[in-house]
Amino acid sequence: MSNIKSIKCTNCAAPLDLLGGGRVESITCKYCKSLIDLTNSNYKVLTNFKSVKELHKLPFEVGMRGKVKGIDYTIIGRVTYADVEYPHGEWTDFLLFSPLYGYAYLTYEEGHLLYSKRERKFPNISWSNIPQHSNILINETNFVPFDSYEAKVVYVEGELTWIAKRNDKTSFIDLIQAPYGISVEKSRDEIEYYKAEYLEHDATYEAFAAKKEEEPQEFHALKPFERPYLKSLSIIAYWVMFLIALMALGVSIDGSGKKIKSVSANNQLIQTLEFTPHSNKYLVNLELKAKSAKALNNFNIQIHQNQHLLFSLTPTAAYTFEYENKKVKKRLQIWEKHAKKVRVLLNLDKNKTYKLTISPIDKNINSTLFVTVKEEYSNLSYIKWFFVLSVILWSIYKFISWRYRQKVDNERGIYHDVNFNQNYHNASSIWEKFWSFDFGLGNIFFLIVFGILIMLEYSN
Amino acid sequence: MLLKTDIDKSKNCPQCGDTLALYFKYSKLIKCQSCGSSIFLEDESVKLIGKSSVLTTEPSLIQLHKPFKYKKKTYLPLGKIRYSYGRGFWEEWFLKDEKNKEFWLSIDEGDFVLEEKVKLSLPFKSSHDFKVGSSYGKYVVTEKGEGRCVGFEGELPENLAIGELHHYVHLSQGAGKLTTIEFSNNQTQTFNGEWIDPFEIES
Repeated sequence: MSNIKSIKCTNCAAPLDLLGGGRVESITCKYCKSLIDLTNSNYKVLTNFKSVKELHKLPFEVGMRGKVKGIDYTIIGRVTYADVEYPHGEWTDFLLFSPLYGYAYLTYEEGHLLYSKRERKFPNISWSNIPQHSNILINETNFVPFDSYEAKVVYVEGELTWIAKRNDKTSFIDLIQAPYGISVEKSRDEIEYYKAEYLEHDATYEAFAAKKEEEPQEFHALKPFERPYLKSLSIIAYWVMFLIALMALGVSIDGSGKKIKSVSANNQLIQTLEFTPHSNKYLVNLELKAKSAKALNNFNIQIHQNQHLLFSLTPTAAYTFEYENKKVKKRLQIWEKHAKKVRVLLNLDKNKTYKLTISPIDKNINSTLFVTVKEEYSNLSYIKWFFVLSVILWSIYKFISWRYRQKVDNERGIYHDVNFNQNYHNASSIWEKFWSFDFGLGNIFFLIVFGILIMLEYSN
Repeated sequence: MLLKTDIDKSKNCPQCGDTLALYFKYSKLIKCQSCGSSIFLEDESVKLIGKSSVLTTEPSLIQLHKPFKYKKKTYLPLGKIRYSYGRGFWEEWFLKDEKNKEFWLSIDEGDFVLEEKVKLSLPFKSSHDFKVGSSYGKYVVTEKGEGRCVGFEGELPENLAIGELHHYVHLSQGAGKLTTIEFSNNQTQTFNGEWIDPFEIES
């Protein structure tokens, strides 16, 4: 809790205001940059950071006030770390203080901004075992171990709730679930857990009245993949695909069109029947039924419109013809020789009259054919293009999203970290990725196959 | 937000005679809101035990006698004790819920722990028996410290010695579950609870 106190710098006697509550353990004099130990009754000077100031100037400064996540904070201190292995990899933690909500951090890393607070609900897992987990459930969110590294303190300013001397080392394990992350920090004395959240830059700069000096680098492990419009379209496309597939499936199981006409023919006479489809919503189902396969195979069937032959069916061949020039448009697959019942689906125009002719082949074979003409089964010609467009749209979003994630992983060197490499591949084998919703290809594959099957089923 | 509370106004301050508003029938200690006297409540009698120092007002999410909600349960703050650890202090808030169950909420610089008192007989006589980082079965010692009681507000279910040193040990069970052992005046008390997110407190 905060009582604003003032002490004098042990080195230069400059007055130092203490803003940061009761847990502050060290302060760096803003004039001479001496780091003073506040836990020592003599306010002992521990080190000095004067020589490194200009190398680490950032848009945020100690003393600035601003609102993050709806809380009024004051920046009371900062500590800059450098990766031990890659010293150019630097980031700065600004220590925030709110009298109501306590301490938090605003992290500045190559233009990216993160907000983090102590996380108390991390399960009891030893430091060495954390990378062995494929994911860790914390507060109903699964975090994936992502990276481990060691960093050293290179610069300190203002107040801190611990004593951070130059070159003090801390080990980190990062777990991610963008836009959130968990940072496990192991110092000489303790292990602490922090939950971080990726912050929107402009709003944060505005909140602290800070001037943006650097555009964020392209990638950050916690930066969420943002294509809001494309994402919305992709979600719509996903549901359109789903609904079309469901609709097609439902109709194919239970076609509920109307019966137009029916007729029976025998082996003695040529039988004709005129019929008119009432709608283009359904295909015309020509259902042929006989008592035996031999009887069924004793008839030829033709469909004409205005004297033009459109369809011909014999026991050995089936064709559709072009309306104008009588050329064969498509050869169709013939039924099985032993069938007693056959279904032929035709895409015929509504309100046109068609003439069905049933001709016996051998008048000596005693046979009767029952023919029913129904409007049945949805005609997918209307919606199949919606389906195709939806697949394309959805695939584009998923592909961009997948590529982005790959780039983030590569940028963060996830494939080069030996410890995490094994774990990453254990956690997400190529098959797991393939079938996961996030990866998307499994779903795309499934839906494309499903769509093709439906189209083949209904095309004539 | 409603919390049914019967306020007992049958007792008066032995110092100034003003009515003592008791929100909890098992309270043992109350501070007179008129004259600031500390009054010990025993059976039907009231006993003046001295004048308490006035605690400085600090910003807080929790206010005395103002109910708040946490995870759909309503709690009424009845009293608080402030402990100083030199550079700062923390507060222990005495609460009751809708069923008159007692709870303690510890607030220390934005860290909130909600706990219930439990009866456990432990072989430990002092906080010195614990070492931070060591394990006791499923428990890991995560913190130990001490603070001096500097004052209280409202009413409390137990007597309190102002100025007394108070030692505590935090034992983590993981996933935010916490057991706290408190040592003071040759007395050991155990509490079970969890760290709570102040963002989830609805005032």
